Amino acid sequence: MDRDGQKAGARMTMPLYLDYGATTPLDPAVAAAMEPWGVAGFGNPHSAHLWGYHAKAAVENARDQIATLLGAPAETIAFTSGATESVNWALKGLLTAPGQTRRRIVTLATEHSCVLETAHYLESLGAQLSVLPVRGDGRLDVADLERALGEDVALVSAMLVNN
Amino acid sequence: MGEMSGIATKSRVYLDHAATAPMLAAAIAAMTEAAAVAGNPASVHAGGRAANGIIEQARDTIAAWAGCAPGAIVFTSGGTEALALAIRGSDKPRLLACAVEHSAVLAARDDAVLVPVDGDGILDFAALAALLAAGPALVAVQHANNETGVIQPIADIAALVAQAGSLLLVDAVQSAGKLPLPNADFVAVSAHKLGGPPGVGALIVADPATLRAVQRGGGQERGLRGGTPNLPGIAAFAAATAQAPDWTRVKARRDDLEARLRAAHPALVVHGAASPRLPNIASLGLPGVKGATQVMALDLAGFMVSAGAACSSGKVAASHVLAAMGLGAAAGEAIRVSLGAATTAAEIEAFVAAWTAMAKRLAPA
Repeated sequence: MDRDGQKAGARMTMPLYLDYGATTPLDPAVAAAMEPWGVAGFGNPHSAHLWGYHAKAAVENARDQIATLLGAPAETIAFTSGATESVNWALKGLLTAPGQTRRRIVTLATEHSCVLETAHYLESLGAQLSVLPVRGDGRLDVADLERALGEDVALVSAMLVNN
Repeated sequence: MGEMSGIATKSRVYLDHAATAPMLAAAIAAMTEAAAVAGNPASVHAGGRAANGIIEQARDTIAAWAGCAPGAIVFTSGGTEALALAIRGSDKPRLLACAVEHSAVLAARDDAVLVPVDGDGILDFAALAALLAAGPALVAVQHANNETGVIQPIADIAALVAQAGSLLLVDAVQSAGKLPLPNADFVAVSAHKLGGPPGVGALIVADPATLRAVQRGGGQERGLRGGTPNLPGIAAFAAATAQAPDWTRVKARRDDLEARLRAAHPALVVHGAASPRLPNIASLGLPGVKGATQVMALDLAGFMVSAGAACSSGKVAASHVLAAMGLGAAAGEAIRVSLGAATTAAEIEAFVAAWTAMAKRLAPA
């Protein structure tokens, strides 16, 4: 193979990953933290025996660590299968909660599809939806939010950072 | 991890495989391998295609194992989500649930109508037929019960439900990997009961037109379940289904266990014993002794079993399953012993000795 061919070959075998916004590789420290719980330390955190208590303690320890990272009380953290479930739960749970009288969701045009699709689903069930535009620089004009807010607004859903 | 080394060195006997089972080596290997793939299955680049390839290969493996088309499989976060997806995503106006269903079914809808079971834990066909006559419904029936192991005659129930123009959801979380999966409109399975990791499962959907998404956003799983799929979990789930433990041997151990306990303490009651049962579950009633007390005594002796339904508070309530079988006070006096494929004869031997000593102490004849 000539020099150019070798170069092309090198590029083929060493692809560059620049899609960390889609997903990130598993950190070796995370893999190491998972490893013991597959066999040696497995248990159902709800079981009323020693390995159940150990599993429960591991879950609560993780909850404390995440709470510290997020700066939130541990008891405010509910684990889910991922952000899509979290968003679905927050929007549907709040709008359909017993005693909920507010019917409007306010969100931004640049939200992730899990917010927009869930909000549109709730709209199909009778909720009101205000999807605010963003400025040319991608940020919300706070004056638009002020105009949208009212006694009927149950929730404002906004991304901290756009994906 | 000092805590972990403590677990590993203690000689304890785990007989709670129906709660969760250890991961199989093949599942751990598949999980580790898939975790090394950098890519979101929805991404169009090489990494994304590699991730998607793993998911689709896992789907094919699980479909072959389940005896369904790959397109029928909707990956979820586990059995609970799979059941909730069928119950909340079905267009049927009513839910008829067998009285012995798991709380994942019973709690999924506030207005579930219960179908009774007989004293052996088998669904009451006449009662189901009468309820079906009132109009279309989604009918939820466990393939095998998680507390007694009692197996329902799903083929007969499916025929009755189809005849009435209703849909059948089968919770196969306990039976998957032990019995061939039944044919139904929806079948729910979970990976961690069969050697895969917790946090992954599937709903097998015969006809996607009968279901709409519950978790929305992203359009994954052919629009039926939004969210980035759990790539390492799904790969490990598929690897776990490739294993075929010798359940005949497990059944022999379980039967031997029951026979020896009965010989040692004739007051013992094995719930559901007259019905076909899973090979690995024994529901053991010790008259006059609360199940929670038995679980605690056995845990102290080094044997891990369960009683009734362990809820998140760690409290043990009287079993709704045994209550539905008409057991009254005895519903609170049972433990569930569930064996794994790796449970040894020596472990059974040790358990028989510990249980017999406990029975002598707590329930003197």
